[in-house]
Amino acid sequence: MLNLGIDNLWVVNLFGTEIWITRTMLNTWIIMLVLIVLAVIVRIKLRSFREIPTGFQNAVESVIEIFENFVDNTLGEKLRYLGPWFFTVFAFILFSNLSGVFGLRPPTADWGTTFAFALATFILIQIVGIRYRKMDYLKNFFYPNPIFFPLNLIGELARPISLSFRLFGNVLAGMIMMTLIYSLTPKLVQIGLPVFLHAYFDLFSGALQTYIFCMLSLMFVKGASE
Amino acid sequence: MNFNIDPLLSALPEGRVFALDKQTLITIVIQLLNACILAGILGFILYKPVREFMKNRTGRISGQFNDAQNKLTEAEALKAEYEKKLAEIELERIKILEAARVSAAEKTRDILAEARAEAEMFKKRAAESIAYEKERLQKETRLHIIEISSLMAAKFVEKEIGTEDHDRLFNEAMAQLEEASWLS
Amino acid sequence: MHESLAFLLAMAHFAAAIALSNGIFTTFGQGKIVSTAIESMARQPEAADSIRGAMFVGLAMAETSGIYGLLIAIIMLFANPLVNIFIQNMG
Repeated sequence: MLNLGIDNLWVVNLFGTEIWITRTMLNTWIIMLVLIVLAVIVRIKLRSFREIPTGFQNAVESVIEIFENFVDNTLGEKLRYLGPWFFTVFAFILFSNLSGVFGLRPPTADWGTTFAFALATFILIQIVGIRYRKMDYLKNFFYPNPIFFPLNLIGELARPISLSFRLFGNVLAGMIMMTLIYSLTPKLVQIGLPVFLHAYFDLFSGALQTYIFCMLSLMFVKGASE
Repeated sequence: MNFNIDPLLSALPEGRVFALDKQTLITIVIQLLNACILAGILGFILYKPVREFMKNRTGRISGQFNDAQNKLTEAEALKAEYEKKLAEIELERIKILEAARVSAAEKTRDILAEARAEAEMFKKRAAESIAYEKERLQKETRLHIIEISSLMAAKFVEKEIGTEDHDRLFNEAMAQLEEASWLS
Repeated sequence: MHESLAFLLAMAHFAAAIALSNGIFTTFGQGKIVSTAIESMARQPEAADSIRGAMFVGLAMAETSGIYGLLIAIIMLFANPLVNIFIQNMG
């Protein structure tokens, strides 16, 4: 009844290695499918887009434009090509945080997912840092004194960990609260009350954590580039 | 106290919430791959075409705007030119009018001078004819007077005096007449 | 052995509760952040948007320690390594 964990759906044997296909992956694929279907719909509708936007076109354009401005303002012109990646991160995390409303277990309530994104941010930070500042960036690790190298290294490594655990902890806390409420309260209470809790834990908290995750990732990447 | 561990163990949930083991690593790798695939698909299907479309439209609209701006400046220039030309025409008109006035005044002066000269000539001619007329009349009058006086004198002389007195008297009278007539 | 396991589980739950109590200080810190942000917003309403953005990022930063506490609690409850070691050794 009270199931907080990530169910293990199938076990696949690949090259002698056991790979668990968990609920996280299934939900991830569902969300990916939804996003891709949305994108394809937009792509098909793009042909009939006109000069003066109306309705659906307005919504799509404003979403893309707001995001582009957000990325431009935070990252600057020279890192503009990272826009699609952050757009994907934003859309995926937002949709997976909101998927709790539809009764799915959010993929972001699995540390594997959040750490994957945080790891991607970490890799981006290193790549951008080395590409735009070369040796200057590496010298930063020995900044005041070579003795501080371990400290700087730990500080650098703490970034993806804190980034991933922040998102994971928030979403997991929301999910645990919702699961507790659904499994411990009588059925009668579950008719209207969970709406507000969903609104807080899934919509508000989910959107806020998505924003913060993207904002911090952008700031880290930006900080590495200059 | 005697605990039975089996129910406790079996009560543990099937899945796990958090663990640090090989399966978590595999999950991370798979999710990273998923994210990359999704980024590729979304970037190529959604983000880039919409951005491209919006950029194109922005370019088109700004092009149109620039065109309109250019046309406006062109029109402004044309307008300024026309206004300049109009002002020039006004100036020209004033100049022409002035020239016409000057030439008219000159002509008037010429005509006036001519007229005056003609009038002068007429006057002179009239004066000449008057003088001539006067002379003629005086001559005639003198002849008449001479005639009359000689007639009167003949009659008078026949009555009272001789030829000497007659001649002297005649000459005196003649001289007097002549003087009077010249003076008048 | 059973008693030891029960003791271990009970201690794990205590540890989880203690780890979560750092939420008190996290919340105080977040309250401080929000109150300062609202003060600055009242003083400069025209800068409200940028202050709000900075406030959310600051809140997220301050939340980190609370999240670490939650993480430790979750490890204690669901992924306690000691329990596994204990069961392997004893069972």
